Amino acid sequence: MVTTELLIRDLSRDLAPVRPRRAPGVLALVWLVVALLAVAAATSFTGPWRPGVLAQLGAAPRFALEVALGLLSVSGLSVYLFRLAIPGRASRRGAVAVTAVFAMWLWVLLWNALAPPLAPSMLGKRPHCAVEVVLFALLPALCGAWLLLRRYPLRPVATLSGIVLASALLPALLMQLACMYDPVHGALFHWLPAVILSLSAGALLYGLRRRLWGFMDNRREIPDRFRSPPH
Amino acid sequence: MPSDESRWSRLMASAQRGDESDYRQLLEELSRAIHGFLLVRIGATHFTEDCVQECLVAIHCARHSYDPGRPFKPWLFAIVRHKAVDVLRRQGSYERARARQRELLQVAALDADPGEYLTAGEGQLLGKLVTGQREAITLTKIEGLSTAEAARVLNISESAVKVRVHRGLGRLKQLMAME
Repeated sequence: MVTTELLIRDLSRDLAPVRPRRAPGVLALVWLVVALLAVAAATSFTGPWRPGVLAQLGAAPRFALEVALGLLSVSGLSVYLFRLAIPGRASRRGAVAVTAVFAMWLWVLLWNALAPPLAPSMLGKRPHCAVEVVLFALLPALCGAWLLLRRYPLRPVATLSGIVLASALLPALLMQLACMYDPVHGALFHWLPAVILSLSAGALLYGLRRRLWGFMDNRREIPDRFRSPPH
Repeated sequence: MPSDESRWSRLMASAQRGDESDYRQLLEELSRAIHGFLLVRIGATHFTEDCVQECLVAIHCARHSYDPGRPFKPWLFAIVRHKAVDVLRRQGSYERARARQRELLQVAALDADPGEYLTAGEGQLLGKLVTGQREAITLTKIEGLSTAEAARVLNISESAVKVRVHRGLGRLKQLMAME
């Protein structure tokens, strides 16, 4: 039986200084901008953007609204996740705000699917757009997960699954601009791979949740007998 | 005398710089505060002290995530609430496992050599037996029925009950040896 006094003595002995983590919102936006630039660069590197896409954004306000709300949703989700990775920082109000923006985005997506603001066309079709969505999401997801685990997410599975979703939505969103415009094609080859990747990551992380906690404890040099038992 | 909030915040900021004595003082004060928090919300239980220790370990692991420019208590109690729920959840599993172990030890106590069962695992060993053996053992060793009564309940002969109990206990030994 380990007494609390003994535990406190051990924890405070040879205490290593740590650098406090600040401003999760700023870090989230830095991650988002870097991830967006990286995904845009990868998209440009692997093929041309859809011809006339900027003109389409100007000519079809509902399409521009869809893209803008998508970016806003991913931004809001990122900020919320980086707050969630710090105990006591994520608020219910933040969760409601992110959910509301997501709901608006989904509503606009559905609206645009039922009444496309642009004429569906094969122009700009990329042969491997679904695979590209998945591949382009991996690096931002890994970087985001690393940054989040360096905080102390109390719900690591939900937090990391969320960052995978945000990472997958970025290339899916850009693929709406780079690949052909057709709501059905977008749903099946841009959005669906992003959702499948996030769900798969969630299932995998759920299976690995004990290792996640082990990782979070081990790297802090906790004496063996005080390490958290598996969650 | 500064409030708990500002004192704990100052002590944690100092601990983040590596000050051992401030950190020790902080953990001592927090252990009392967490203990009180748990007593009020969960009541006096045999695992309260375990829960306090789990919280202290989590606070230690998460100390870099506290921003000294922000209030301390929301950070602290987010960790404490999470750990308390986690310990309670595990405690449920633990109590169920203990109940199963007690059930198994009752069986073992009636066997010729109970010492062999005393180190039994906590898993659902009885559940791993085939239905006939499990029913026979449950009726005769746990419910306390005689062989004849169990035979009537199961609608089989007395010798069949004896065979099932014998084979079931043998299987239990095997299962324990495997764990």
